[in-house]
Amino acid sequence: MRIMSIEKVEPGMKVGRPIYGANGKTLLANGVKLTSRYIERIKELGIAVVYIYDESVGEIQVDDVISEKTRFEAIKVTKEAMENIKLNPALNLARINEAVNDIINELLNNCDTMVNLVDIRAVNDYTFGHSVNVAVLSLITAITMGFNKDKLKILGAGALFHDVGKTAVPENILMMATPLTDDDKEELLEEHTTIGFHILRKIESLSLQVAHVALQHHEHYDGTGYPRKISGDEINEFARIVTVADIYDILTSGRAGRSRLTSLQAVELIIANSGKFFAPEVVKHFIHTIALFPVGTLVMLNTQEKAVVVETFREYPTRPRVRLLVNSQGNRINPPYEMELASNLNFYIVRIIEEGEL
Amino acid sequence: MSEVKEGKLLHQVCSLLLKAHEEPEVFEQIAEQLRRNLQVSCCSIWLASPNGGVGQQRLAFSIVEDNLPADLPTLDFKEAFQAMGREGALNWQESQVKVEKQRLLSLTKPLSSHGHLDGAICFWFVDGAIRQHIVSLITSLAADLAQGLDNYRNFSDSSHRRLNKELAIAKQIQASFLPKKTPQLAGISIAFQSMTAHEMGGDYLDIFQTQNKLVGIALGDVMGKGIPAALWMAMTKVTLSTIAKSGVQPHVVLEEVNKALYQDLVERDTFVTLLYALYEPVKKVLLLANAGHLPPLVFHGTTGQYELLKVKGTYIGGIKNRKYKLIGVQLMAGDVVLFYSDGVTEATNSSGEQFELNNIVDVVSKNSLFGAQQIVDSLTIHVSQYIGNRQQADDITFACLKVG
Repeated sequence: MRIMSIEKVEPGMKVGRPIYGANGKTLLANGVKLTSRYIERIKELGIAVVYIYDESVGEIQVDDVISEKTRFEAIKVTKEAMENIKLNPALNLARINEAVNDIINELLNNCDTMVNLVDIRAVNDYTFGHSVNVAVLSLITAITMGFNKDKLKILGAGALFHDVGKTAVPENILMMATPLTDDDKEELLEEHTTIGFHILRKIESLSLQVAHVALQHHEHYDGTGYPRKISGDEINEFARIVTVADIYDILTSGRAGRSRLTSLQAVELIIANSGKFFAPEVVKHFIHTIALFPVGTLVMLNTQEKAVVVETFREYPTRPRVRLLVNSQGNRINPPYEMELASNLNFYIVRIIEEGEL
Repeated sequence: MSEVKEGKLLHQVCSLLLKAHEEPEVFEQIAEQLRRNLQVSCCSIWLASPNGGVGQQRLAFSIVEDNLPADLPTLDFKEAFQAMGREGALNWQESQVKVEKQRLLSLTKPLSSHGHLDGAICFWFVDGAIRQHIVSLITSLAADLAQGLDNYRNFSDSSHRRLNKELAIAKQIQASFLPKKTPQLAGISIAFQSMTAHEMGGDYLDIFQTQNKLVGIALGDVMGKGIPAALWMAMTKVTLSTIAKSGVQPHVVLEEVNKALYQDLVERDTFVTLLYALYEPVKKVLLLANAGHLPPLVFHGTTGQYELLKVKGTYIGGIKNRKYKLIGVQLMAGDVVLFYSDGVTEATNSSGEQFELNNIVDVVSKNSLFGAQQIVDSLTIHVSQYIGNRQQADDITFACLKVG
């Protein structure tokens, strides 16, 4: 099993990890042979990266930081809550709290875990899948920062609802050809922060801090964000975390007309903007939760050997455990053997291999 | 095993080895023969890297179809790696692993010829009694196996087909000069990278701790390539480390190195660019003197600003009894210092453009929150991707010091 950009996938290749639709239903199961129609459809659905079964790579265990069950439950309850929240300020948030609790508990149970899965969102569900991704990324970062459980709960809810204001700004208006100028569109888009704030602050069972996450998640550390252009410690501490998680997920999903960045590229971009858009203290912790070379990535070593990443470690971001597949002469290494790059410093990654064939 | 049988096996293996340079599959056949005749579970043959221990490659792996542990290939790699790492000090290496109630013994022998390491052969078996068969047979075979690996390597490695044997040895010498490990000190991390070009260059890097617990970093480049450059590099290294060990100030070190080498360099019409920096970890001060080498880059983590530590100085072998200037910089937690050779800035992409300083600054800033090793690894990846499939023209060497 290995990671492949959908652009490089060819008909006949097999699915190495299920592709899910809305509500957690399996669209394409493990082992399904991809046809050109399937591939086109996957592209249309906005999935940029897939796991492909590859016999020469062998079995690799790739674990999500939370279980699939918890993730899809969270997506489901977030969707329901967001759809009802405007009409019903007395909304019962018990299920949301439960979903946040489940995520927190699972993350706390495997605290050395790293974000390895790429493009886990379920199709047709961008907004809610994105909300849950942002919540998971925010929480895992806050756990490494030493937040206590009460604070984690506020952060989790804030992250899930950070874009609630967008439900009031119909996205298709922004995408459609309308008489609106770009400035108008931008202004409308920027309003989702204040709209979100007003929706959330009216809900009694929610901490006011949750509303502030929605209001402030586009503020920049250097004061160049919106809506209030506040800076540094003036920005709510939960919002400072959600900002980083939000941008990371957008960058790696290839939304908003950008081409998709790999985790390595996205992390570099986030570090480059630390102290500008992002709070340095948050970035410092965030970057250690992301696998720069996610499990399943094919890499070229300095020895001209090709290998696949099989395990990642927080302490050694650029030095995962790899399985060697092809030697420097281009011959298959059979059976493959594995190596810790962290304890064999003479071996190092020189590039990520994106080609379709080994 | 009877003597007749042993003799027959020796004969078979040796006649296979004669073809090793043209048919690399013979190693697979040899491993298979040895495994069957010695009745072991697994036999593997490893080729040491030509670059003085950097990298290794498995040539053969033969295993019985049995319930052996799935990670045996990985354990086998570790055994071979260790055995080759301790070459010289080691004749046989023995170990045992317990996997799924099974006890497996391993026996590994590094193989050397003409005074340098060629590879290793590993055996895995269940019964301890087989041990003496293996030892006796492989002892008679070791020299031939090593020669076979040597022949194979000289033939198969295209870069070595072009280089003659002496150059290959010079390249090994050069690689052996690199720091074995970097000093481990609280409050800083240090890492380095050295990617040698096919045509050997003359980059020189040394990182060490002085007697008064300061960190010395020396980076130099000898004019010219090949064996003469490697020899000058060796002389520079020995001279500098002898002078610098006691913790002498950098400008004095360069003055002394110039005094010691000046006459010889002038006579041979060559020169060395050399930079020497001394880091004081308690006060976080970096002192530096430079004899014509590229200025190090300092990236300030807290402000995102960078500066080049420029100080003028004539190269070693330029002016007799030359004095050098000393400069210093106060570093803070989060600062990154990068020392680099012109192989980095002059790395060329397919359009003929050079990597240049702005790309280095960009990569450093994008990785500045990581430790030195990660910064070095990321720069390696960016430079390698920049070069792409083109052949690397010059040695690429850099060292990184990250505070905090």
